[in-house]
Amino acid sequence: MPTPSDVRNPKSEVRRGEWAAHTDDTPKRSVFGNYRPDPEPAATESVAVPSPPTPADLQDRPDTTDTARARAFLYRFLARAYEDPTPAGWALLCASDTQEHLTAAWEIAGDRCAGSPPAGAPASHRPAEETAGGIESPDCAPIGNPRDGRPEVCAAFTPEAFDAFLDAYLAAFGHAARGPCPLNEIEYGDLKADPLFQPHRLADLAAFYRAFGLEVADDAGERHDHLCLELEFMCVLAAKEAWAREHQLDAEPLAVVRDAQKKFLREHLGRWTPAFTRRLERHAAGTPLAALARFTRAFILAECARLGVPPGSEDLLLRPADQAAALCESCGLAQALPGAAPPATP
Amino acid sequence: MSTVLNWQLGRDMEYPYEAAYSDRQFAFVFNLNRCIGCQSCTMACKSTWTFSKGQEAMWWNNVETKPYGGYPHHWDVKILDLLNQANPGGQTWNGEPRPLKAPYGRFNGKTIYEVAKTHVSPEGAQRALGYLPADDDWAAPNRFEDNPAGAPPGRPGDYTRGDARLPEHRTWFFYLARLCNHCTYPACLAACPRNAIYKRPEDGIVLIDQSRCRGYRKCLEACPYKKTHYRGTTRITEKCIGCFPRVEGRDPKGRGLPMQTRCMAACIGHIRLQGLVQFNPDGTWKEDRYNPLYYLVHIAQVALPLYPQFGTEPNGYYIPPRWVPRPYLRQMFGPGVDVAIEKYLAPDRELLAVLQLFGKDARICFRYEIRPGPKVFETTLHGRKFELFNDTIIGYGADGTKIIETTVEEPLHIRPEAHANSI
Repeated sequence: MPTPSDVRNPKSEVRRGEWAAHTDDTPKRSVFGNYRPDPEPAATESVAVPSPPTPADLQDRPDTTDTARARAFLYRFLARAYEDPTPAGWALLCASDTQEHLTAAWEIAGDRCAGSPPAGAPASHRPAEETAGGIESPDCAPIGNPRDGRPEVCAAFTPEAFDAFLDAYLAAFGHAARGPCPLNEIEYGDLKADPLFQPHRLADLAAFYRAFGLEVADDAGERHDHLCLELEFMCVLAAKEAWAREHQLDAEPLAVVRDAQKKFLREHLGRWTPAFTRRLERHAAGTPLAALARFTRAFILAECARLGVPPGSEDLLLRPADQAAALCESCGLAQALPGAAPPATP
Repeated sequence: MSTVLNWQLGRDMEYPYEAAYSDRQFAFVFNLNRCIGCQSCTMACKSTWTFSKGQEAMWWNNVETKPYGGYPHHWDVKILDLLNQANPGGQTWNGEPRPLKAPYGRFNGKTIYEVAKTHVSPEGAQRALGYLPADDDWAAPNRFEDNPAGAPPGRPGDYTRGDARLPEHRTWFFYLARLCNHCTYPACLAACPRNAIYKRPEDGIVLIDQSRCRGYRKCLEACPYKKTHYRGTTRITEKCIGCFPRVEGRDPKGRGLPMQTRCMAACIGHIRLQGLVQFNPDGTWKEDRYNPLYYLVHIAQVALPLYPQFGTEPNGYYIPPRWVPRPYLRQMFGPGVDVAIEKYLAPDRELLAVLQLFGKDARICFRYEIRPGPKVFETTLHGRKFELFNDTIIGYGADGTKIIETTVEEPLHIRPEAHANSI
């Protein structure tokens, strides 16, 4: 990893004496015979520093203003769908206008899932039959209707299905952060490491939002890691991208929003959504919510493919709710708390 | 295996690579009598180098409370135990001390390299005897330090009921600040199967080539001081880099002069002095009479290597804490402890002056000069006559710039009666 001092500062007034034998141009050397530097050390993914995209790179990308707009719409749709269900909200989701837009948006932005085109290829708007019905990859359950190209979720979201959706929603998410399928990111993760990362993750999310001038509304009543907030944030970024493309701004604003989407997807949304949707699909099998889960997974995987981000594992576990007690096994306080289990007797 | 001179052991020993020495060597002296365990050094390092994801449990510099503390947990007890199992009762010293080549006499036991030749660990052959700490050992850098006694066997979280007595020893403890010793014969370097670790010829700083490391953790296993750290998020290993941009003189604050590392400069107790020393072709230190490190290690002999018996020739030296039982100190710092404490208890004029250099300036002091001053008072110290002279010590940087000028007696300032926050 290059340290800040590896970058030569031409304005620096630093004097270099014979004690500073290591110059920037000197290859790494060792006093022992073990080490011979590679002529061109292959940078691993973990240490490679991404270079900012050039305007030429951006032009090569198949994404267009329409794609960005369609993606913004899909994120917005999903954010609305995962909100607390209300009759008014449900009516909006089921409206024929919404579903038409959804179908159109999916046709434009959702085609990466089944056999994604190679990077640099022109944007392909495949016939719906090929996209959804013809090819079925293991990562991507069929989410379209083979006949009319409408996503399955359109068929599932009907005005009559509100009660079924509401029941499934309450059963799956409950009233607390920790239902059977939590809607909050930091509930998912590695059993050992992730309890340490939770504050970091929340802080990271807040910093993402703040960097783009966003704050969580006072009446939102949700943590920064709620699925709806993350989807809304991606919606804003995609909309910003559409704006930058439409108005042909300089390469920099476009690069910034693309980079932010990529990072956000890699570190947050794309990391846990596969596990969340898998869990949700199993839990809510046979209800409109399961269709929503399948649609969400297909879209997020398509987004990962689009932005070149590896999606997170579907097998992420839920973090243990009371790991803190096990961490301080020797202090005895955990057993002393009211309602705690008595210490095991030998 | 080739034969190299380890002057700390007063004899030749075996090392996997041919003897070779850097032009200068990063080295430091810590005065443990002064350390108050405030962790300023730890946080200076952490906030400079290891503040990112995956580095949460990575402390290149740490301060542990001895005898019970240790990071990773019980690191020294475990490696000492392994050495003792391999060479029961044989880890002893004898012989007359000789300047430069054997200042602490001769070590008759076996180093981690010598044991590894005949010892096969459960994981297979090793180039240096060692063990891989468990994940939990890294989790809390200051665990067990305040624990007077453990839980009863089989009842974690419980406490001893009824009559309980503290262990019967005189209560003592001290703070041990540690970082990578940038050893002359590094075990991490010897053990790396990918040859990813290198020791820089210009300053002897030991670094891991991050593009070559694949995270096999052989260095973690081999380093007896457990000062390489695996990072789960990148799956490669990282370690103290000796703040090399500062040592190279590339920190703008030094205005071109080599600076001490962040942990040294941040020490509020002024216990730390870091610098660069030079080697003779045979591996002993080149005479540099007025380099403060050379003076403290070889002339005054108050600063001793940490666990020299491991055989890596560490370049971190410690002035041992004078109140700690001697057998414990001899195990930790070798047989030079008695001479060092004797000297420290009644310091002579030069030692007292050199001790003033600690923590006075962040730039590296390459040479000092003492200007004699008047006698201030005399007394009896530990049964011996002691005279205090208010000498002035002047320290010079790499290019001869004067960086420090201070006196043995701290200047006394009397605050005027009327001052900014007078009532």
